[in-house]
Amino acid sequence: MALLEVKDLEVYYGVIRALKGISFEVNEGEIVTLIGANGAGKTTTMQSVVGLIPARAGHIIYDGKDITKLPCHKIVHLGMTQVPEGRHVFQELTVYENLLMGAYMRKDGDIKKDIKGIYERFHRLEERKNQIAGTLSGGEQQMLAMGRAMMCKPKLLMLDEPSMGLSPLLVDEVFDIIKAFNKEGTTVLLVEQNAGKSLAISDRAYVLENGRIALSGTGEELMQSEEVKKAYLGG
Amino acid sequence: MDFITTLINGLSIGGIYAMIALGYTMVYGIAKMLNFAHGDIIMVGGYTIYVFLNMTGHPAIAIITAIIFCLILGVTIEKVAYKPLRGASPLAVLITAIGVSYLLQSLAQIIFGSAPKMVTIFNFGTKNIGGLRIQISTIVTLIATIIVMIALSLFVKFTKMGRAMIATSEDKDATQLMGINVNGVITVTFAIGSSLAAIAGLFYLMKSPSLTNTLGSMPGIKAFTAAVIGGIGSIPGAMLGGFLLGIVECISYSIPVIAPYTDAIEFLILIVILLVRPTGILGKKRREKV
Repeated sequence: MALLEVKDLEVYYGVIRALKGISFEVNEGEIVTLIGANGAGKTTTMQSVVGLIPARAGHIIYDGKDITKLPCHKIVHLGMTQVPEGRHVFQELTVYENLLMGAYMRKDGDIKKDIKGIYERFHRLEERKNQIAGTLSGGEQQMLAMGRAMMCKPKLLMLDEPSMGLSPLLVDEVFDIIKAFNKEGTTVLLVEQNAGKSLAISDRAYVLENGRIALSGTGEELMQSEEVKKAYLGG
Repeated sequence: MDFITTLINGLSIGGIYAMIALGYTMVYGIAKMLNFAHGDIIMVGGYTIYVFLNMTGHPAIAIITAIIFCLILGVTIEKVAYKPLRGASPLAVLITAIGVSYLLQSLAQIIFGSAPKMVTIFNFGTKNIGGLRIQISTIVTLIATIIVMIALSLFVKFTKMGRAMIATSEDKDATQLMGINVNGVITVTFAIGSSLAAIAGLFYLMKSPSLTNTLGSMPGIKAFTAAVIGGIGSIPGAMLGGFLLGIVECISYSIPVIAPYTDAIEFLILIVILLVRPTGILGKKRREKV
């Protein structure tokens, strides 16, 4: 059964129909990517799934439960969270406090241990743990945003443009980390403009065009598709 | 020696302004609205103290009741008047706040009449300390406000709810993605702000014991000025702005030539600071996402 199922989702900004009825699903253990050009509706989809933008029509089913009308914080309590586009770390809090915010809703005693785990994965964060997050570089902020999301212990992790604005070396690192999170059992829904790299790590992918799903298939299939090659892979 | 007395008086009235300013600044930082009914919570606190002091004769009971009553009132106002307007234009929220302010003032006038009530909560008298004649209530006010401010700073810095407040003021969406109910955080903010207003009402009455339905107006406006001078949204800024304004006020009052213009001088400082530093002394420039 699908962990996340989106059915005929429609979202409006005022009178403008940003999503014109899209459907897709994410199965447990998968990495699924939504690719598409600027303005195709990728971020709108992500924000709607997590309850930050209301859906006008359609259904969002998570873990067998209809979450279409739930507020964001309740959806997060069900076990999904998001690394938003542009990272959105808490600029005025320290690196350590940002990670604590990630664990805000947890009541178990493993929080300290898990923060250690994050530091082991991201050594830069440990070096800067008492630094105010607003003073970190873009790459470090991306690592912090990902670490913070993992502190929520999500079943489903959504990442919106995690490679945006990063150097090629860091982009590779980000994709390696996503793969590693997935291997450890986290299901991943990814939105990316870097179609090549994201399709390479994806089990399945969807192509979003003007608020509609234009194509779907396995990562491999889409990489071979002529349309995708021409429009998104620069070939 | 006179100057030291003036300074202590300034710190004391400044502490009251700071405590009120904290309510303005925290609500602005977290709910992004100017709660112009905040000053009137001081007045409600004053009347609650008056009623329960007459009823029980115990200042402690009266004060605690006033704090609890103002806390509930603040939270209720937020739920009934402001929450339905979340996402509405700032102007609509502002007008609503002004409406709530008039509502509270008119209710007080209907219930208690317009004649001032004299309220004597404590009778501390004055004392000579090293040749200085100082009212004990001034010292009590100063110490109490400093304790409250330290407690609030520790709360914001070291508790989960405090961090959630900083997070909410910075980025509501990201805060919700941590599983935090932002409306809950806003409720707590109003609760804290209104309790502080009640405490400020107590100290304000100790200074000027004449209680009317517009008691909160002037200290409300002064405290709002203090919050903007310090940098609205900034907690240390509200404290700094409050003390600064209190000291300026008392110094100005102590010089006969300019004493009548004290209020004008205070607001002039606001204008000058806004010209030089539009975000206030400790206000941060926020990076707005386009």
